[in-house]
Amino acid sequence: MTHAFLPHRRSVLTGLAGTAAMAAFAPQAFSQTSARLVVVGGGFGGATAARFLKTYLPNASVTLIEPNAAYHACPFSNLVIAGLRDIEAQRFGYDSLRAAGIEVVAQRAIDVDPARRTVSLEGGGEAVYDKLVLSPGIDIRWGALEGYDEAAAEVMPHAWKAGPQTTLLRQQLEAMEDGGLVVMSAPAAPFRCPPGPYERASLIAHYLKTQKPNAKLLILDAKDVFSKKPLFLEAWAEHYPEHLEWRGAADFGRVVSVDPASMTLSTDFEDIQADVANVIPPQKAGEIAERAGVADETGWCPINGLDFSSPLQKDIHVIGDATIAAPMPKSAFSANLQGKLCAMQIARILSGLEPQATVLANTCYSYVTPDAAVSITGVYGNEGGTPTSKEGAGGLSPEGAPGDVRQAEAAQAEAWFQTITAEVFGG
Amino acid sequence: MRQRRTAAFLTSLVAGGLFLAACDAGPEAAAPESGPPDSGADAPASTKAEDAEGHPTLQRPAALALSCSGCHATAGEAIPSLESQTQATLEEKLTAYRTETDGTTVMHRLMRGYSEADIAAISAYIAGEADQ
Repeated sequence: MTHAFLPHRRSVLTGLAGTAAMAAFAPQAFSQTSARLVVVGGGFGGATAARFLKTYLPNASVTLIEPNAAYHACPFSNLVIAGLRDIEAQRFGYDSLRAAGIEVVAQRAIDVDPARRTVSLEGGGEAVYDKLVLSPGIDIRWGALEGYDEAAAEVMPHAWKAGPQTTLLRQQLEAMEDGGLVVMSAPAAPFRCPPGPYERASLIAHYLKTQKPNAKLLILDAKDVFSKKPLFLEAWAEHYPEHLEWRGAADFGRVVSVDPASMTLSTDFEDIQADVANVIPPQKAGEIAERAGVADETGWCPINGLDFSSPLQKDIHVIGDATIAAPMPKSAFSANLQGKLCAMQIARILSGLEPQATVLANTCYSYVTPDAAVSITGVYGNEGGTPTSKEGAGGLSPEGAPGDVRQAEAAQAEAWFQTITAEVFGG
Repeated sequence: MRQRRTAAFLTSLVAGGLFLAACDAGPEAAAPESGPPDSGADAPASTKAEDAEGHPTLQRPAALALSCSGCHATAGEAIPSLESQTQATLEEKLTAYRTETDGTTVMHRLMRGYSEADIAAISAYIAGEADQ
């Protein structure tokens, strides 16, 4: 399992002395602030922010509010769907954060009162904050796609939050007879993990090709352009010409309604009956963002890209998939980096310093087969508060590259997953 | 493996302490001896802000290096470790990524977004943190 490969970083993190030397990038404790810092959401963004806040500001009280006892990581969950990985390898608990001196409250945050600076909890209590970091991820816009509500998701899983939905889609694929039709509905931007649907399609196609050779996957897409498109098209032509078909918006690919009772997905052109339907629906910032008043009319959260503070509410920062940080994508890499940077800037602010501009990076790998991956990268400045792509930098893996380039990126993807999950959740 | 890390951890604790002590003593120790007019320009007053400003973990080099640690672990194969690399080695490698036009890795594409000064700052910061 994953944990066997992780560095023993927990021992380094335990206790205040340990925080002075956390691996090669150790932020060192300096401030005496005893501020009350509250983080909502224990995913890649929030767990990172909590850990780094405690490291920068060891005398502050850091509270992480997260209702689930463990987090299921979305990156690599497409391998679970394809039967190539155990869901348990996606599961990460919070013991290491507790050991680092962070109070982990296993309750749902149900409201935020920015005037009183309180977060109210489902259990009836509340947490008072001097600075609040919201990392709520995404929620589904139920009903935005006609027919797709919470009940429909039990029949036509989205699997866009890892966990039971991931397992459900896996089970449906396993139970499907050879010769069946799998239909994926991919949403319009913005949504979590832009290349995610296409990595998933690649790995499902691999499963069909190797286990159910008479079955097929049809992707119905609400758009014509998607992340890493030339690389995916290249891989699909090479590996899955008989098992995967992609239909973009220009070819009436956009799904306008679904009917779970008849397993039908409808476009403006036709009704398609699926044996397994993976509906990746329209999304918005996690619900608490709206309650806190940090989401705008788009359903997502504007931020100041210098420190990820909300322009809509004082003393609240928002990080991760919930933000409007484009061109930074809604990725685990971005959420993790934003968590670190946000923590550093809060430490600066509480130390009487201004937030400082920097350069941010992003890298996302996608598997196209179990041993081949492609990547997209970006580099961003944040002067003036708006993330802006650095010209001439970033971009895709080369098209037409030899197999060893793809295999190297698959190995790097695995190394990345091990490293980032160790940094966030501990080894 | 664990033993080696523990040793490195202890070493870095000690060295980190010395490093901080040296920083604290630096300006005052230097001033009486040489007394050049510019040595006082950034001498810290005892305000909270300037104490923090003097601390390396909140400065731009540290902020730049935040992008590295999500991929580069202390033990790495597919993605190399940055531990025990000198500033000169790191700077040379990162600059090569930046200038090689036919590179296929993510690092080639990433480094084109960083200035020479940023690469020097990242290299110095990581080498300083890793080697102590």
